[in-house]
Amino acid sequence: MSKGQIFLIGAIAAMGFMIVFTVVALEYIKVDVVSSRSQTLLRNGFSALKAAINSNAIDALITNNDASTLQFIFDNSLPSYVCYNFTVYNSTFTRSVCSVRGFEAEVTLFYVYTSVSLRNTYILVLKLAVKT
Amino acid sequence: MKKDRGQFIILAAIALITAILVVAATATNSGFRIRQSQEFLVSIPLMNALDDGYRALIVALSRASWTYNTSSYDYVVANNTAYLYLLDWTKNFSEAHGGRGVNAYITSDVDFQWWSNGTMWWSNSSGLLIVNAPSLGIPQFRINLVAGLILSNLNIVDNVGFNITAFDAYRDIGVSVRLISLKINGSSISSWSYQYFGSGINGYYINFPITSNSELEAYFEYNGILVRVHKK
Repeated sequence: MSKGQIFLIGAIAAMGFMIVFTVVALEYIKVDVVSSRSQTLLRNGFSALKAAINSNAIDALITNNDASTLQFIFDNSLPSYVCYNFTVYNSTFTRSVCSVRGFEAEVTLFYVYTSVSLRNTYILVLKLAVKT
Repeated sequence: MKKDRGQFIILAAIALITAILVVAATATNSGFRIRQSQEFLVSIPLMNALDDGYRALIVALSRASWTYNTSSYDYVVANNTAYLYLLDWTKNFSEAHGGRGVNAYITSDVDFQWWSNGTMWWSNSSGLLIVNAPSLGIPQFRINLVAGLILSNLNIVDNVGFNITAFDAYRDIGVSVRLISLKINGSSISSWSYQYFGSGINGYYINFPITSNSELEAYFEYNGILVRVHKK
């Protein structure tokens, strides 16, 4: 086998390796991109929850069953392509607000919330998914 | 053959550069962001503990102060009220974040000074927030918390009313407080006008004879925390 043929085989093998490597790397990254989407949802959800807590909108939902402020906050702080289902509960009480009924959550955010004015603690659950 | 060799070298170099560029571009857009996102993910229970722990201590003190008032100033009963509430908070926190292997609890000690004759009055609580998060690489995280309302500088203006200065013990700033009930020389006063002067100075004007020698008993509230001011 001549020197040129050996070089040719080497070059083809190198190219093959690079193609396989690239395909594997892209597949790996693709999996993490899905994970990244969940993380983005989680970030959005956390910001929305903080806004809801700071505005006393959760207290309004608990005391008066008034979800208007809470819905306004979620509708404006979450991206338009995201649907949500928010629940506040404790041992004796449960209330929910959602943008779309019956969707499958991609991320679920749990948060403990103590209302100073109501002098009680509640668990908040915010389920999020990208609209299909 | 030398010509073929040159072509393959160029081809291999182009393929290599293209592969590097594709991988680098994709990784830049997703991989780095993923790492940052994961850091955010693990910190949510910690952020929740820090964010809500202080509010929980306020509510514990609030409940304790009202119990203290209705139990004829029984400190043990009041402290137990705070303890039971914080136990409930701990249970809620475990329910929300226990699945991630994160637990938090708060110990507190309430303190009341409701009988000082003309100097300072307060309802105060010092607490210790402890978060155990070994699954996040944090064996134990501790932070001291303080909540309370401090009233001082009671200044009675003859036949006009009185001023009193109120401080939030946690934020260490003057605050506006709500007067709930008032007695002058044993007589209940049902109406008064109020003005907040800033820097924690609260002014109350009453249509009732009052002098600096009058006996004054008043209940103030801030964030649900009750303080009794009594001056003989």
